[in-house]
Amino acid sequence: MDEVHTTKVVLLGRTGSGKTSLIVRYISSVFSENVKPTIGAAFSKKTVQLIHGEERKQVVLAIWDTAGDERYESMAPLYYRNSSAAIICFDLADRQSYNKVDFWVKELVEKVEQNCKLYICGTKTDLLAEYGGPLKRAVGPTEVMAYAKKLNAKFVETSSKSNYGIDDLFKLVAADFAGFTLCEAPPIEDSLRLQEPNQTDVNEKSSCCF
Amino acid sequence: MINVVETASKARSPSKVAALHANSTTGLILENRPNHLPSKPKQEELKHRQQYLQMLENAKRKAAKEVAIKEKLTEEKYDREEILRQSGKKWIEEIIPNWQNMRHSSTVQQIWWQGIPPNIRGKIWKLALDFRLDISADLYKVLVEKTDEKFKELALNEPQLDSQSDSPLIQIKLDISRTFPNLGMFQVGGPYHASLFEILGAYTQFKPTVGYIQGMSFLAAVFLLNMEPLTAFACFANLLEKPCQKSFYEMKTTKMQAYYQTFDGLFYKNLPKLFNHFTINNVTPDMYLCNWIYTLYSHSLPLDVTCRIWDIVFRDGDIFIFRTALGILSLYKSKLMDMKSIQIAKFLTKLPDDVDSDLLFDAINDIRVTKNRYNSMLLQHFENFNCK
Repeated sequence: MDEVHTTKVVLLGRTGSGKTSLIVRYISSVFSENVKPTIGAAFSKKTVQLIHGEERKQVVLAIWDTAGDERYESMAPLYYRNSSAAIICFDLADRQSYNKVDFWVKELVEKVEQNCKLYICGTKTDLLAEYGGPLKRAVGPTEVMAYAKKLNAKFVETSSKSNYGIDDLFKLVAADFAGFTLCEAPPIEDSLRLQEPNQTDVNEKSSCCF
Repeated sequence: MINVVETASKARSPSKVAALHANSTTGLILENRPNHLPSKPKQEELKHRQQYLQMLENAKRKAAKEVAIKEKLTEEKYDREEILRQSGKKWIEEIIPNWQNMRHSSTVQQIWWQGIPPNIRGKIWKLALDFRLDISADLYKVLVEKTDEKFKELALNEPQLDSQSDSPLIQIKLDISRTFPNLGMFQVGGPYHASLFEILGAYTQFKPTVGYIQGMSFLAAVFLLNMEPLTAFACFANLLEKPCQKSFYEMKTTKMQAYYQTFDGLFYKNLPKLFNHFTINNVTPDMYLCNWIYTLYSHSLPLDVTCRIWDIVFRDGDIFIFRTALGILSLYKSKLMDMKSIQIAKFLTKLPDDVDSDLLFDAINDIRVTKNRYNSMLLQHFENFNCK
């Protein structure tokens, strides 16, 4: 019998940054152009299997999706309390969406008592010119990397439309929670992979594969 | 050898559908054994023949059962349409002309409970909402013009309109396409895209302190599906003046807590076992009731069921929002008792698409909450929180 752990993961970020789409892609393997805005909060659950040599663990991710509307911010503490991981999303092509990240980081650092691991997630890579899309990056990856490093947070990039990096993101969250190290780097541009922070801040020497 | 062969249904007249249905959708055809294969022993052949007949019999029985269920549903739907047709006549000829005298009579209340016929729903909603805010056609026109001006300014100043601005109008544009996405009514190019933008934009001019908050697009959309834009705007603005909606849309957090606690009190009184199950699993009203209140169920229930709930919310007031919530919990009680925390929350914020409105209304009917009790509980909690 595998060891089973349950952990709460909250998604935060500006409205339209793609939080719900990210979860829908992860849970149901589909993408839709128009998902309803989240009112209050929405909930999902998925089990991740981790294998590490002889050791096997199951991590149940209880995923809390939140409303992006700034007017709902006063309710946010109800939803992020007791989270052991927070995925803060921003639209890679939208500067204002990125600007909101720092608000959520500060909010969590100030108000969450227990240890809450931070993941900064740039969404919608499919829209970027470098991936054949129509838009320019609103913020350079080095800037985000430096910011994430300062916070001891991890930075990943995803696309819910082309299903890029999403399984890996949640695997990373589960592995971090269970104290496992991934042998594969999480999805991020090649040029950035060398300095990917999760390789440096974890003490474990052995690694595991999924 | 037994082959399963799909054959097309050739039903012509509806009366024959049932009979043909059972035989023709999935037929099992017994074919002779191909020549190049050694022949089966007699006993085996007999056994296979019997098995074949048994399978055929089972398939027929299953199909007949499905047809019977379908027929019953069609019949019920027909009955319901007939009831609505009858009551429609009564609404138009008797009730509407004598609205003030008749609205509280027990016969009208009873007809009302069965659901307002869709073709006159807008009319009744407008009457039942008892407008506190009087909104004239001229006022609406001015508000819409102001919205247009603001939006043009935005377009001039900000070349990258898509998501570069904090203006509520930009947020509205984004959300309209995400309102009832399956209907295709409000998306760009859809018939109600422009009117929904107008209504929500006009409201930001009408009440700048409240502006636009996510959830509003669903409320305005449901009105717009039942009436023309001016009345939809008036109904929308007046709904947001009702105590519960007003507290939530104005983000009065202590009042919101008072509503949650009132709900918890009623929940415990009506469904104590389930209440304890929720408590053990840390499921609190802010996880699901919040969504139900902001969008008056339109975000998590099918549209036809939503409209029936709105019928009675406008008849009985806020209390029915809470009775409905308890009715939903009661309807799915046994399912919910088998679920754990996050599953419960997930289930309640995305209710089954096939929820039967008659069953739901039966469940709501069994929830006992008097107006006095509701009011005194709410008042008590308001006092505890020092609000009003």
